[in-house]
Amino acid sequence: MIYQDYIRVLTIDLTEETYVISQRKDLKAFLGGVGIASKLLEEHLKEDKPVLDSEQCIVFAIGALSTIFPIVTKTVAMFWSPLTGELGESYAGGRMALTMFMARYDAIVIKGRAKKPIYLSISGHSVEFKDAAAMWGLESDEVGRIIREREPGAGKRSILRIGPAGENLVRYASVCVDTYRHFGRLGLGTVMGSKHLKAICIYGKGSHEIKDRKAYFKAFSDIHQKALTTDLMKKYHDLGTPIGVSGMNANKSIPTLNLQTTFYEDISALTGEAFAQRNLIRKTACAGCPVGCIHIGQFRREFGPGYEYEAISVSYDYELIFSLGTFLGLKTSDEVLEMIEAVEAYGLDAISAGVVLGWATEAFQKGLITEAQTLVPLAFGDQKNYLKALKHISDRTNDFYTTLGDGSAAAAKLYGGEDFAMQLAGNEMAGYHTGYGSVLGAAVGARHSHLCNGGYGFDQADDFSMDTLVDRVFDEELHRCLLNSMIACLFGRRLYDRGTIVTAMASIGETHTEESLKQAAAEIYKNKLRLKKRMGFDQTAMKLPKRFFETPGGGTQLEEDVLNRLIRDYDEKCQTLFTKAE
Amino acid sequence: MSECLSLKLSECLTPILNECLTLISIRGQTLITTHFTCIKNFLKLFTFDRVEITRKKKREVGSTVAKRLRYNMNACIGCQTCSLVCSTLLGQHSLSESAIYIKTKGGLQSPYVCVVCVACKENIACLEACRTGALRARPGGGVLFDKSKCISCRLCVKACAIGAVQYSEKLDQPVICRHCGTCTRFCPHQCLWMEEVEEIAEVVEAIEAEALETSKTSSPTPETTHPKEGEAKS
Ligand code: SF4
Ligand code: SF4
Ligand code: SF4
Repeated sequence: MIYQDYIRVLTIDLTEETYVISQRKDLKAFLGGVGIASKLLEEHLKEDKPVLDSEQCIVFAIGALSTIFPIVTKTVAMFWSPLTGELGESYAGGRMALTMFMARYDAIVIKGRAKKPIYLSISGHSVEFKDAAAMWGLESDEVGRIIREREPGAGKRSILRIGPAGENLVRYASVCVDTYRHFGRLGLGTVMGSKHLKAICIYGKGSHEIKDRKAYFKAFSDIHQKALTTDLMKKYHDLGTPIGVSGMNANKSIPTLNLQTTFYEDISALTGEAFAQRNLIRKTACAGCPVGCIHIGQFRREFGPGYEYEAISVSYDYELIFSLGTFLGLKTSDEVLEMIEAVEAYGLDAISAGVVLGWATEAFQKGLITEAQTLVPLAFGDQKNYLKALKHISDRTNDFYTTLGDGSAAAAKLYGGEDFAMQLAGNEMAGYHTGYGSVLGAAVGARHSHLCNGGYGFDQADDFSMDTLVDRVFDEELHRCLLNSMIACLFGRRLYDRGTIVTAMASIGETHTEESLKQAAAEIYKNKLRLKKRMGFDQTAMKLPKRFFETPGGGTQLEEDVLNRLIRDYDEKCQTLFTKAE
Repeated sequence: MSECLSLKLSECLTPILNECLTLISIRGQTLITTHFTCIKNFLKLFTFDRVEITRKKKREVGSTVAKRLRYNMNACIGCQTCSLVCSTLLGQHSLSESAIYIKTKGGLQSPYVCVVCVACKENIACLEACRTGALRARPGGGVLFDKSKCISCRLCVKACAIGAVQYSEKLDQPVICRHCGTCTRFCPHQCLWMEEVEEIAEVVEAIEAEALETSKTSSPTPETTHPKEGEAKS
């Protein structure tokens, strides 16, 4: 905890309805965020029990610099992923980090299973286990509204909730945080559902007395000033992440029609500019972020005859425009927003949901599955049927949709079409097919996400070279272990080089050097690799769908052998991490 | 003063300067050094160039220019930077020890609203409610708070019709905007700014005369011996 020599952990047992606080000096070496969360997961993981066993845990943690420096806004969740069967690690913004910080918890561990549906009301002074039986089955935003009305602390609280998909244990169920941010990937919503935990409200009205006001304010002001003068502000505030849509398309890198291609003819109505002009109604930010990249778009829906319209607003991002747009051949921003509304309501991970539907569409076209199974004919561009399919996934309507709810890897294993089930180790691909970097990055990334090491970024760099790719991906993965211990939003990553982190830490009385931070990051990465091993993951045994090697990424035709060699090289680097130190 | 001017103080620290100089004129020569130190500290602590800066002259006794905080929330992104910065003036990382409070009209799907002192100039409810003299009228509107006289009765909290007086359980005192303008320098989307207020000379004189009167009788408190950066002390 800030200004203390320990990490303050709240451990909640849902079965017993008890909780304890511990002050863990031993965790201080792991900085915060992913560093402490991976240690806590290591302690609580029961690899001999099923993934969704009541004894498994969820760990939330904030970082060493959380929310008192600009763009340091995220909370990490770590768990055993029911989707991939290995490391579950996901980040969400919103107000959660700020409220945990103000409630004076560095980490919250949740284990056990409630006897009936409940929600947790957590404040600096208490944890309450509250009845949520009547909320079971309700959509995510409805739950948000109810809790908002029941709990105190407007502006100082954060509300996490799951939708029906989480209750029904769809393996890629998400958790919505403060309406517009999510623990999207890898099925945290599923784990919450398995624990009968519908929602969590964290109320942060406490405070921390500043030790050295002058030093802190100087460091804060400098970084704030830097944040305002970088191109970050303009880039991410003006159009938000969708600014990338047209560029990615021009570079032939945006996965389209289940990655049959990486160039979308009909992109014009799906670009950042198109969304901004047609749908954008406001922008917002996570607490502590001056940028404000969250873009809210609105569309109008006719729900009955006689000019009956409703206006619906949801947040949109690059990833969603890819997964629920180009990947499925949708043509307009309104259609994409309506898809987003559906995944929000059901509480599904938007990326996995879109990619799974991409596989299903192609499998349907190829006759691997029939309409008796899909219930509606699936075709690229047919948004109305996709909306129905999303509901079927969330409800697990029949055997087929139940399997589809287990992820594209599971579905392809049963029905065929593994060559075009676009996942890596069970996690559905993200919106970048830029070249070797994107596939390598997601393949070796600790959680198989594009954000583990930003491998796709190296493909686009002017000085791209196959010889240095493995090293660069590795170094970035390591550096992000550090950023994710702070926990800085990755959009602010260029602001937080090691030197800046040293200065910021010093201003709150934590002495570090660039070297000591580097070492801490290596230890954190090792913990994660150990966890993956315990969960049964073997990097070199990974099999990638053929489609990655059929459809050129960023104009490059990838070869499987070459990629496998890169993966092996990377794996060797990981091994040296262990031999070097021990 | 020349030393300060050489630091281009008058160019960039208008509102704080205003406060400090107000005080100088209220409290007389003896306090000038203290406040200059505080001004210099401020200069070190802040760098800002995004805010529109106007050149201001030293405020004379009875002059007619003071400032108060104003806002327009249409560009607000709800980052809460203003609150986090304001609470550092009370030495805290906190939302509860902040005089400016950002929330939504009704859930995150609705616009952000700002709850902060609007600097009443007449019928100042919090001031009228205070029985101990811990609050006194501030040139430019609103009030100045003197912790040494506060008995934590919370009458001011109840009195403010717009709910702008927060109460800090931790510090056991009300938290009221002092219109120092610090938050305006950190709002990334220019939602907050300082507005000049024309004062009627007689009102200023009355306020200042009263202040002078009370300052003679009040004894120093821990707070007054360690003035907060930029805060107008009484
Ligand atoms: S850049 Fe966007 S996601 Fe990151 S902290 Fe700011 S608002 Fe949140
Ligand atoms: S003007 Fe000063 S006291 Fe008032 S809200 Fe802003 S920072 Fe706080
Ligand atoms: S700093 Fe500005 S944008 Fe951020 S919450 Fe305050 S008023 Fe809104």
